[in-house]
Amino acid sequence: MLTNHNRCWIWGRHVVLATLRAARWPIIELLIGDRADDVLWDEAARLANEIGIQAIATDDGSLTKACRSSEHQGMAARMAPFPYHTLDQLGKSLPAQPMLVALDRLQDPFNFGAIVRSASTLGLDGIVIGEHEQVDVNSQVARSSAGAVNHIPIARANDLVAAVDSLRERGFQIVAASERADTPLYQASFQRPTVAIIGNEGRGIRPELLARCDQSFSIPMTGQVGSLNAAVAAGILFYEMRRQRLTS
Amino acid sequence: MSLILRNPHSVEAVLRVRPADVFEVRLAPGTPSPRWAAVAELARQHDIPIRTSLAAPDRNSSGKGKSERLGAASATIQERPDLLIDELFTEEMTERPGLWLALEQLQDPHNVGAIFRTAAFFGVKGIILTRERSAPLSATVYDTASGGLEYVPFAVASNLSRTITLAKAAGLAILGTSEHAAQNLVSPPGDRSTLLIFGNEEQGLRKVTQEHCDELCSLTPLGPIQSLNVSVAAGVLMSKLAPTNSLLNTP
Repeated sequence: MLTNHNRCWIWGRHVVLATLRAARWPIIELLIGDRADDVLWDEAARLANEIGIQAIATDDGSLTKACRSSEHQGMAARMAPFPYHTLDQLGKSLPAQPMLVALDRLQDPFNFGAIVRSASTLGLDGIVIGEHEQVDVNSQVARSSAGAVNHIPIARANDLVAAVDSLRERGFQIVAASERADTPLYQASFQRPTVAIIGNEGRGIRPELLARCDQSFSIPMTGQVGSLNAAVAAGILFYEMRRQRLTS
Repeated sequence: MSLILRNPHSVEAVLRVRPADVFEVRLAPGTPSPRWAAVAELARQHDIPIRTSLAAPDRNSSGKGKSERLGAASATIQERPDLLIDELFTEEMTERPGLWLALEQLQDPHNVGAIFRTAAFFGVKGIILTRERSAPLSATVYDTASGGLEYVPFAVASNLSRTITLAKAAGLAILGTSEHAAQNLVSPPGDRSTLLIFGNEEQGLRKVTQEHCDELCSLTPLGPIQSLNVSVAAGVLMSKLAPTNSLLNTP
């Protein structure tokens, strides 16, 4: 999906402005449509100037054509490849007692975006993903993250298993959220530096990663049926991680 | 009205709960996935027609991403009828502590569907949805709910005033959610039943609804993004407030 980076556009006022303000993800081209008022235009031009690009005035029709969506609210930007951190860069940016999440082959851009948003909102320190079978940070992920892809470091490793091993060597405990685990989430402890692993929507966490976990736990089901969506499960997990840190 | 579902989990739930409402199952040519094979087996047991066709009927453009993800198989079903609000708060329903949800003008069908899915997981007793400026219960909602629509009873109302009146009369605590509320962490209500209300993705709860809540709570916003996605926030609160679960929660 969107492997040709020339096709990666983000659109919508909130996401484009958040990306301009954060000044991390390089913007190749910034288009502002007819419907943008003077305030928005001035703000966009000022921010664009700060990062050394020009805001280009165009009509709404051309905007729709460029980003292939009519939901652009008068703003769209063509993006360079997403600036992932390396694992080392992420390691250097971390505070004491960090909390990370590793995503094992997440495929749905809505889930990925929602997880990035929750991780950022609930104060996690970074996200680690692998290169294979993993959806990239693309326009849809940026949109469902409500711009949060700009605010939390996302590290991409060639081999996620090796990345988890390396974090383990640096003193992290590795924990897994798994439907099959017997230990309820609320008995887990997140006081140490922690990497929580969230698995693929259908297949869960691959065995090599599960074997590396110090503990796995499940979110207790109190209804009769069903399972949780990956993004909802991640949100419940991050909230508990955060809660334990705030109340300790 | 009939709906075309493309998620085998949502079709399987209809087959288990109300098989008479499944009109037809269509499989893609070739060997079906294990999930669809299970659906076909259930359909066979209930004498529901199974077709193998090259082209599945078009649902709508918004379902496009979904059908790519789930393959071309689908099923046509009758939508599930809603209940009266009163039926969600009968003496029998409210006899033991439980959790109810009200969704005020939620507009994204993925959010509504995700909330139903989580509600089934946590055993929510009923959901009240508003009719105006709200996502209708479309096939997208059923498929995102992954079967949740079949297990959580629901009612549709023009606004929430009667819902709140009935819930209060039945002894429920009314808990609204707002980004701006002072109270961050929710204290589990112990053994009291709760009606938890969520507002529109952009505007939040209407003022008149906020005024009728016993309490307002928010989830701590710690990062630069102001709030969580509403379906994630709903999941966190359900995990905290679903009665049998609160026994496991540390205070």
